[in-house]
Amino acid sequence: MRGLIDWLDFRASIRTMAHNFLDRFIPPGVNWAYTLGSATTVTFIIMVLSGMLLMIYYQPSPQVAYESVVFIQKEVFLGGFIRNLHHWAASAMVILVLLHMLRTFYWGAYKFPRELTWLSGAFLLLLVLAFAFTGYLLPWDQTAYWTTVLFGKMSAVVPVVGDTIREWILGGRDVGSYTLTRWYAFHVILLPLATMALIVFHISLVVRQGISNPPSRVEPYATAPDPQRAYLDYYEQLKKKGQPFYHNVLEDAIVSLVVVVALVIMAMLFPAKLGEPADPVSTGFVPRPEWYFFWLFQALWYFPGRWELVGVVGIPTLIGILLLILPFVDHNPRRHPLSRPFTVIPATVLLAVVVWLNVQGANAPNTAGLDPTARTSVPKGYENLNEAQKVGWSVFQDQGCISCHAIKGAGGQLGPDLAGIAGRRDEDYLRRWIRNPQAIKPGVAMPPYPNIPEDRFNSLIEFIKALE
Amino acid sequence: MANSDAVSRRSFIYRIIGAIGAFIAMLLGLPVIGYLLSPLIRRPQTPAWVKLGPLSDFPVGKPTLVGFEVPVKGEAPYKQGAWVVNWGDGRYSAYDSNCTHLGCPYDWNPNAELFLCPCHGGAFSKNGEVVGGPPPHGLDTYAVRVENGSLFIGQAPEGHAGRGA
Repeated sequence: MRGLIDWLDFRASIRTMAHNFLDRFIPPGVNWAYTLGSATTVTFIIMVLSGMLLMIYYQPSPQVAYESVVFIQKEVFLGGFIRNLHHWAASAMVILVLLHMLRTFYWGAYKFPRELTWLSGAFLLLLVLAFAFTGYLLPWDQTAYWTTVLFGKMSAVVPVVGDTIREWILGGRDVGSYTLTRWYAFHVILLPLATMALIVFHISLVVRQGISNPPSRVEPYATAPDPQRAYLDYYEQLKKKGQPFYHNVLEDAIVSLVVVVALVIMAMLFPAKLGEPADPVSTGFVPRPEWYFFWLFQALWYFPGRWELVGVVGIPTLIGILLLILPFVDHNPRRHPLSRPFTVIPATVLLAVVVWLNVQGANAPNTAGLDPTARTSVPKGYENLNEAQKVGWSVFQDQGCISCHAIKGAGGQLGPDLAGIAGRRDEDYLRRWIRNPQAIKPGVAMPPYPNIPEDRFNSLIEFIKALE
Repeated sequence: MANSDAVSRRSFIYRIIGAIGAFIAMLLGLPVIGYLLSPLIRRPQTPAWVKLGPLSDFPVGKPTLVGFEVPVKGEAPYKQGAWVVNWGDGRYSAYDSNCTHLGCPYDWNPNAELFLCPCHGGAFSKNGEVVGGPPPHGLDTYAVRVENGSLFIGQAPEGHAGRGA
C-alpha cells in the first residue's frame, strides 16, 4: 500500500495535494453547520450515478417513455430502488442546497472576498432547478406532461419574446416528442457537465479563499479605514487560532453518511410516484409541481388577469436577480446577522412568505366540483339541510361553484369561503350577483349563471341562505 | 530595453493565441448555437390539415373533446386534444384543449353551460369567450374545414375567441 502511494506520489504529487487540502488551517468555530456543502456534493454524486444507471433502460419517446419507466420500476432487478434513490436524492439535494445557502446568507459568508463563491453557488442553484424541471418531464406521466404544459404557458407570459422563449424551451409549439428528447439531452448531459464544472470551480474558490469564519458580534475590521484589508488580516489571525481542515472532514463524512443512509432507507420504503401515463386528451387534471415549487403555484392565485406577469415571471426573476447581485450591492462590512438588520430582516420576511405560500400550496384542496366522485349529499358542517336546501347543494355542485368557493374550508379558493355568507348578503343581492356578477362588480372573476332554471335557482338561493 | 522587448513579445504571442482561440470558438460555437436554435429557425413540420373524424361524431350543441395525432415530419407523432362545437347550422368551432391561463385541461360543464378549468377557476362560454377567472383571453381556436363528411382542423390555433365581459 505504502509502495503504491509512493509510486503515485512521485508521479502525481498526491501527498502534496492532500496536504494542501487537508492540512490547511481553518478558523475556530467551524462546526456542523458547515457540512451542508459537502453533503450536497455527495447527493449530487448519487444523482449522477443513479441517473447513469436509469439511462440504461429509459427511452425518451412519447410512445415508450412511460413504459420504460414502468419497466425500470417493476422488472429490472433493483430498478425500483435505483429510481427511488434518484427521486429522493433530488428532493434531498434541493433541501441541502437551500440550507447551505441560508447558512451562507445568515453567516454573512457571501461578503468580501467570497462574492464569486456566492455567485457560482447561485448559478448552481439555477442549474439544480433546471434539473428539476427537465427531470420532472421524463417519466411522461400525467403530472409530468401537464406540469410541462403549464411551465411552457408560464414562460410564454413574458412580454414580446414569450412565445419565442416557449418555442425554444419546448422545441416546438406543443409539448411533443421533440420536447422530450430536448429535455432529456439537457437533463442527462448538458446540465450535468455544466454542474460538474461549476462545482469544481465553487470548491476551488472555497479552498482559495478559506472557509468563512463564524460571525462574531465583535467585528474590529468593520470600523477600520480599509475594512477589506483589515478583514484579510483578521482572517489570517483567526486561522492561526484554528485547526487543520481534516478534523472537519470527519464531520463532513458523518453527515454524508447520515444523508446516504437516510436516502437508502427512503428508497427502500417509499417508491417514487408514477401516475397515469400522459394523456393530452384528458379533462380536469390538476397538475402539481414538485413540493419546492408549491409556493410559485400558490402565488398564482394572488395574481389573476393582467397581474399574472408579476406572479409568474416577475417574482421568480426578482428573486433570481436578488440572489445574483446580493454580494455586490451589500457593502456593509459587518457579517453577524444581528449587526445588519436591513439585509437580514427583508430576506427573512421574504423567506417566511415563500415558506408560508409553500405550506398553503401543499395544503390547497383539490377543486372538487369537477370530480363527480367527490359529490356529497350535504356539505360538511351542514348536516341538517331540508329538502330544498339539499337540492340547492346539488345545484351548487352541478354548476361547478365548488371549484372556486369553499364551504368551511372544503372546496376551491378563488372566490370567498361561503360559510356565513347569509349573514353578510341579503337574498336580493345574492340573486342579482349569481345571475350577473359583472353588473355589480365589473371585472370580477366570477362567471355569470343566467341559464340556471328558476326552480333550481330558488333551491340554490335557499341553500346559500342556510350557510350560517 | 531587452526587458521591455520581452514583454511586448509576450503580449504579442498572447494576442495570437487569443485570436486563434477566439477563431476556434467561433468556428465551432456558431454552428452549435444555430443547432440549438433550430426549433425557432426550422419549425417542426406538421401537416396543414388533420382529420378529426366523421361529422356524426360531433352532436349539435354539446361540445365534444377529441384527441388526434399530430404527425411531425421525420419525428415521432404526438397527441393533442381539441374541443369541437357543432353549432347545428353547418358551422363548427374547434378550441385548443388547454386553458389560456396556464394550459390546464379544462372541462365542459353541461349544467352551467361553461368550460371550467380546475386549476384556477378559468371559465369560458360555449363560443370560447372568457366569462370568469384569470385567463387573459378567450380559448385558442383552430381553423376547421369540412370535407367528404369529415371534420379537419388546421395545424395550430390561429388567434383566439374574443375577450369576454
